[in-house]
Amino acid sequence: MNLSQLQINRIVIHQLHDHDIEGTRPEPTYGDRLTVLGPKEIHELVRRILAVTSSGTKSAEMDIARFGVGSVLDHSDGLARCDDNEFIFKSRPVADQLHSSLYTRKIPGGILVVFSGTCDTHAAHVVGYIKANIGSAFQRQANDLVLIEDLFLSESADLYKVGIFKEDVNAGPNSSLQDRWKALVYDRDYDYAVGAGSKYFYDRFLGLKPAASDARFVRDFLVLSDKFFESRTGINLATQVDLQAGLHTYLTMHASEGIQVHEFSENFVPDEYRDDYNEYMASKNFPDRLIRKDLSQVEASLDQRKFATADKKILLRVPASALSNKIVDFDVRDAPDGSGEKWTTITIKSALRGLNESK
Amino acid sequence: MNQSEFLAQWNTDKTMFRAWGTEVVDTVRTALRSEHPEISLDVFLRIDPKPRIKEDGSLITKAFYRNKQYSDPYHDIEDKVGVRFVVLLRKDIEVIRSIVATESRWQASEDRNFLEEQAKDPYSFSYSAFHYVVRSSFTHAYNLDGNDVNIIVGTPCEIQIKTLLQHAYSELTHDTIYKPKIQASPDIRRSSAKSMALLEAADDYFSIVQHGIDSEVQKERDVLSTLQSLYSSIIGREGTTNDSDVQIVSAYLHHLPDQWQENLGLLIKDDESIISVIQNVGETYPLVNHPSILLVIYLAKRRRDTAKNYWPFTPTLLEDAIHPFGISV
Repeated sequence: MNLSQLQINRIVIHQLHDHDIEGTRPEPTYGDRLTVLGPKEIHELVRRILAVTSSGTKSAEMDIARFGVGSVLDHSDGLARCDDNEFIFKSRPVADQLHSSLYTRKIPGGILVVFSGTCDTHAAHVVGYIKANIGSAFQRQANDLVLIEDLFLSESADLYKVGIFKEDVNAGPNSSLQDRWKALVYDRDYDYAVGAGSKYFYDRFLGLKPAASDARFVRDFLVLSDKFFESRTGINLATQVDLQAGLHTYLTMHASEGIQVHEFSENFVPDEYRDDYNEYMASKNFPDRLIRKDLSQVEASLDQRKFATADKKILLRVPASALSNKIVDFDVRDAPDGSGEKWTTITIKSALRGLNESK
Repeated sequence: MNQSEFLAQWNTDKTMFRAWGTEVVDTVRTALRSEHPEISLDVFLRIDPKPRIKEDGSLITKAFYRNKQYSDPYHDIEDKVGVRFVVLLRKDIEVIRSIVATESRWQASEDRNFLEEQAKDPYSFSYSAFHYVVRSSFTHAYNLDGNDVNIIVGTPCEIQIKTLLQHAYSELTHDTIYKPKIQASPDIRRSSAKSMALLEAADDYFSIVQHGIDSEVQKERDVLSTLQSLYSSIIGREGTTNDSDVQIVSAYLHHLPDQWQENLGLLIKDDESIISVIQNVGETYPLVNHPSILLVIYLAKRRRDTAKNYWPFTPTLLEDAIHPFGISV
């Protein structure tokens, strides 16, 4: 989702409350006028939003699951086009929707910032929602410190979730509501962005679900990464095996529900190849966002790694787990005969059946 | 010509010599500007070249008391006015020499050529410089401080061309060793030769350093000029280039992949929003008016580690530069 030239034109703020001791959550307190921000404040707000939702962040594009009358998408479509006065009142049902999505007492209330604006070269409509927890901080006033309690969207705390609907200008005039809009979500703790921990925000509140294309992207991620490791000059077989083992670990064992090119490269690709890898993936139009770790299309490939000599006459198939556990290991070195060729020593921590028979 | 006639003539001619010295400086400056527009004169000429008129006492001493055996001292003394051009490196000397040797306003004769002197006596390390005497080719008027002064044909002016190090050496030694009011001891002469040898070696190292710097600067210029022409061709107007661009290019110079130009071209082709953002947000985000923004965007979109790790200013400035493009590092 291209969020270039994001401009915010209207903002209204509603407040959601925590459960009280009796176990009931008071109704939201609605904002009754548009929030007026100066140019500096608008600039800063846009900066905070882009810092978590633009390309290169751990935001995730999602599919729209609920689009009927009364859904947040339905309200968003109305909010994009209504006049300022209507904007204040039409945003209230959205606050109600978030209120009813806070289904356990553990989920705190907070501030809901509803905004509308435009972005990209086509000035496409954008409607966004920020749920921010309220914190406190000290402010210095002369020689005193004053406690400010209604603090939210503070940069260091980063305690917020953002959902953005952007109108697709390429959709035909007769397209359905769900085809005319694209959705993007950022959750501060991205591990849970597509998991249960924050499901209430993207699912119950915004009516979104993980993108169906994620399984395909995960497959592309594996294929493209493999291709880079094999084709990049200077990566020897031993490093290649390490990188493939890293890929396997990242997809199967790394403790996150999502994958992202930069996260993988920062954790598993050596410095000298990292930016080349990042650029390679970008040049193949691989999305630079969070993708749900849907392994349905890669399970078979993940299980087996294949190696071959240059003339493909000798093939070796090894379970990926045997590589990551170092049950099979490779050592590539210069041939001892001084020919300048490379020889590979393969260590298998096991006897090979059939070896005696063939001798 | 006795001493008092000599002085009387000198007092009459002083203004003419001053005017001729000033004209020589102006002529060399003008030629430098037109033949080498890339040179900043204030930087190139390390010491402001001002004509220096010989003091009366020193002129009289030279004419009558230094056993120089002049047949016509007034006319034979050629350094009544002198001009010194001091540059940084030996190769810079050649720039001035070529102007002095070829200028038609005067007839130039080379009096001292330290390269030839060194070739004749390679084991000696002593005073080194180029000295020329330039004589006016024709009688003409020169406007000095608002007054026309007549300069007659053949009026001499001595030109010295030196490096800064050669100049430092001559400032230290000239009065004592070459104009020996006092007798320099063998120790002083030995130390002076050692310091000249050291300066000559330093000059060689300066040249190596300068060559390295020139080649770096050239690489920066090449990248910047690629960005400038790309910017004007895709945006339709010239970008604003200043020191920020130089700093950005310099910071990223050694971290660009070989095929960066090609990749940047492909990126711009793929992502039409880049051009439109640059065209639209210049007032709010001044950095997009600079050609180096193209390099920053390319790196931020494609090579994030490089963009982030080598950015030469504060992280906030980087975020501000790339946010309008909908990206973050």
